[in-house]
Amino acid sequence: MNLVVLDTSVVIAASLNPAGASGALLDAFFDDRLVLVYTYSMFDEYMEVMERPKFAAFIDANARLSFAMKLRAAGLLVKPVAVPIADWPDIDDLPFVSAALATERKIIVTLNPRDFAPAAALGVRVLSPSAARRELLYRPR
Amino acid sequence: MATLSFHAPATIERKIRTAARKRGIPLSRFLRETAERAVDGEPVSGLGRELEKLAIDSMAIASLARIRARAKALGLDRMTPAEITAEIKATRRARK
Repeated sequence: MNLVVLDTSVVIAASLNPAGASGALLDAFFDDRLVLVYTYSMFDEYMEVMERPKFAAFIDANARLSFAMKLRAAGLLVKPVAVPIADWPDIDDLPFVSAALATERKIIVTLNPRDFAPAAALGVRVLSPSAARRELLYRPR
Repeated sequence: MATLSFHAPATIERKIRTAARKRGIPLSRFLRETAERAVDGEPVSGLGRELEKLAIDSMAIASLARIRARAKALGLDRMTPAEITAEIKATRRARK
């Protein structure tokens, strides 16, 4: 299985624009070529951000429900793994690290790789959307 | 009671209508029950799962297309990573 953790920034960028690498990753999830790994904390954050006034203008309640249902149906809900103490730039990113640690390949895709820098020491691979698209969608597995 | 609606490609629509007809229930009830089961995480039969997946996929794909069209119309498809990140950080600050 092509398991991957998408940071909220990637999910939002993908929702805004199908043209980029983020869009391709979300499309691959919707086509069942990629499995999004998530925890309840991540799920809550996706929904919270989509409800922001800036995004709620075009991500309405129906769309949020559809995304939630797709994630519940095709994503992989994992039990968070404890994340060791480190000099994390933003502790609110830890749920994403925690989800990645629960998978074998330990991949996080983000627009903000610097925020996840300490994750490398835990064996987590932090990829940009372009790198993830190249590695997960174009390469034969 | 809220009204939810979605757009689906013609091929998906036909499949959903056929599935509802096979169960002998109105289309709206079929979709509502399918959605309720998905949200509640109830176990369903193999056929049920297939139909559920069909309904969820068609809703999700149509929703995503609609979101992107609206974002483009509002010019938000050109939001930069920094602007997106700022919104996420603001959400996190508001949570605390």
